[in-house]
Amino acid sequence: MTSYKVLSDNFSAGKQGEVLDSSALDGCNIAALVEAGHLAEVSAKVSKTVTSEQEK
Amino acid sequence: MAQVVLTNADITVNGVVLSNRSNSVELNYEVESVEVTAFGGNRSFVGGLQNNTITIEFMQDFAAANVEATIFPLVGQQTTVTVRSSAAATSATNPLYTVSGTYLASHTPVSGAVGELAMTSLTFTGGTLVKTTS
Repeated sequence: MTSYKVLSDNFSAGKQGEVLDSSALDGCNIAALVEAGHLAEVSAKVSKTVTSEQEK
Repeated sequence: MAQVVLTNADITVNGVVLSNRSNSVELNYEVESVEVTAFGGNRSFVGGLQNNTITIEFMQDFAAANVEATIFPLVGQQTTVTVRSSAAATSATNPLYTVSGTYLASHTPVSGAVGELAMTSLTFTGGTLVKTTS
């Protein structure tokens, strides 16, 4: 499931800085919200723990 | 119930609160009448397709994440629009009208004559209307 960070202060589904799952954006046109600068897709990060295990 | 003067209507477009840039809103909810008049009777109708229309006047604002930025990507798209007569909590006397899957056909980013306030008038059509009272 894709997550999105709220960038603007006038988005009703979440406060600025909050991370929302796409399920919380039901009915919204997500592509338009991203293009308008209200949301930014949060990309998955590999944790340090996983990295160190791979190095072993 | 007292009369209602619209002083603080609540409007969201695609989940974005834009009430503070609007000075006019109209939600029209209709079901088309289909005539079923037969010989020997008076005119008679039954309900056909529902058609919802929302017209909103916005004072144009090109700031980040404001009117123009929010509306521009929605042309030719479906979205959700909500309207309440007041920004107070949703209740039986302040129902929330949610129209999902409503379509925006056009947008006029720049409109107005010299000395006038730049406005944009949007009309959303179609979609499914739900009225919430709590």
